Amino acid sequence: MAEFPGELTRAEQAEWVARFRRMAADRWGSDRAGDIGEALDATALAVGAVLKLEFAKDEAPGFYLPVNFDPVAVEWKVE
Amino acid sequence: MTQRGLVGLARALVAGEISARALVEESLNTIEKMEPELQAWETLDKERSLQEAEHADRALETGRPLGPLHGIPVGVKDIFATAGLRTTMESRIFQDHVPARDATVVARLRGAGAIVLGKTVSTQFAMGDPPRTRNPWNPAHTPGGSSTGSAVAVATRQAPLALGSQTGGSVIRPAVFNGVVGFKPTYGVVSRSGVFPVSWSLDAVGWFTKSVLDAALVLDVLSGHDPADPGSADVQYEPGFELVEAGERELRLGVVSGDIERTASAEAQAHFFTVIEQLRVAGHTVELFDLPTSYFATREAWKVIEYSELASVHAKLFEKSPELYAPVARSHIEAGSLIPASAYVHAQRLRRLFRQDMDRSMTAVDALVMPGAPGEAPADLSTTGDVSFYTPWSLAGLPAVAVPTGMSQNSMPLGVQMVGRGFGDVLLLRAARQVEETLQFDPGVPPVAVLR
Repeated sequence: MAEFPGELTRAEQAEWVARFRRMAADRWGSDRAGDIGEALDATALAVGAVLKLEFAKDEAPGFYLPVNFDPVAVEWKVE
Repeated sequence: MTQRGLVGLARALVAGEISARALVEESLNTIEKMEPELQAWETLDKERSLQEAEHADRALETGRPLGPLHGIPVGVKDIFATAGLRTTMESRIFQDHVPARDATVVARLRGAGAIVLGKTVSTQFAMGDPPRTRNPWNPAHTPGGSSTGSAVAVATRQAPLALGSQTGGSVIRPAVFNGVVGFKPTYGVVSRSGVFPVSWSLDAVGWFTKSVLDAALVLDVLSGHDPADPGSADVQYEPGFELVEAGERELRLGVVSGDIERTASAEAQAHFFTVIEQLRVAGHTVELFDLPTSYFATREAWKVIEYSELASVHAKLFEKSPELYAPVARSHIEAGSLIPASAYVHAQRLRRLFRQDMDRSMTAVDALVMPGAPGEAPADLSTTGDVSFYTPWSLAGLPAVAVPTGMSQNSMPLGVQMVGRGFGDVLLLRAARQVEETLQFDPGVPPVAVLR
């Protein structure tokens, strides 16, 4: 990622927001999709920005921070 | 008594100048007087805390103090499991939940001699819905969140120490808004076993105290590998309290400018530059810090990871009872469940890249320093405040500390946030103590506490 690829264009923003509103309506119903509102649009824009990132092939080869994190083992038990 | 701060109290207790029983009684009396107005506590454990205080006093009489936190009353955020004491996550789903065991950090506090007074108010599931707790400096302003009750309890001297947790800014932000020190260690340094998660790969335990030295004493007690937490780093921990107390060294501080500086209010910016000038005059080196390119999508990456993992944490509970969730928590879970896996993977890759970039670029400084918040606590009880000043550092798992530095024109606390290198927790606290010593600022006791 020699250079940050830049912010989403207005057209890309509109496309991501529309896509998430459609997905929310399918999953949660159109009334509820309207209620999610701000969180939904912010999530759509974050997803769009993150997916626009371009990594060099040898960058960030692992997912997690440099600790022995194992997401599969994570569990919160109600004791 | 509770004006002394944690280290002062710990020394006075072990010296026999005060008794644990008297200290716990004072805390409980203070809470009782302030609680109708502040609402900082979800559950109090009066009987057990008084019994434990008597046990501590008896132990001291036989010449055997219980540990470095002997007789210290503490508050615990209500998402930490406490054996035999209700732990609600501020949700009706868990309103009668009484854990059988303590979270690892609660057990470590008790093992060091601390006495759990009770559970402090969190936002629901440590998310963004505003809590009922009020800001003691002005009840019309948000106290911040999500570790709200813990910050307020320490600010009003109800307890010299309270535990919180941070996924985005849930320790640093309420610390700044309430005028106390808040410390969030490096991801992996302190166990989260028994703490209800927001986001497994972002969550960190933190705490609130009156001073940086107090926070350093707690770090020595709580740090250390815990096999029960898969995110716990298996590294050697060296005690840092004595180093932090010894202090005195010239600092190299990197000032984070750019978007953080621009987002801050004019008052917050002016105050921050005054602080920087005081540090420079005191002989510390202060220079602009160039953020790496990978910084510029960190807030988006944080959101993608937090919401995705949140949706996973709550998947089953939410399916059963969506109507029991507060509006912000519910909307974040619903939005998070729509995030594609490819975005989550991209976000985690960016995260690692940013951490690597920060590890490289921070070798030239002891710590980064920036305004602690965009301004004073907003006069808006529908929000817990802006989280954007904290999410890049939480994403990278870097240690952060809030230090009170002044008051706004409205008599609300202002502060700085300092960020350290990964696993450079002690170095960060040494730097923060130097800042504290240089500025010699004490916000004092909030008006609501003075009236009592």
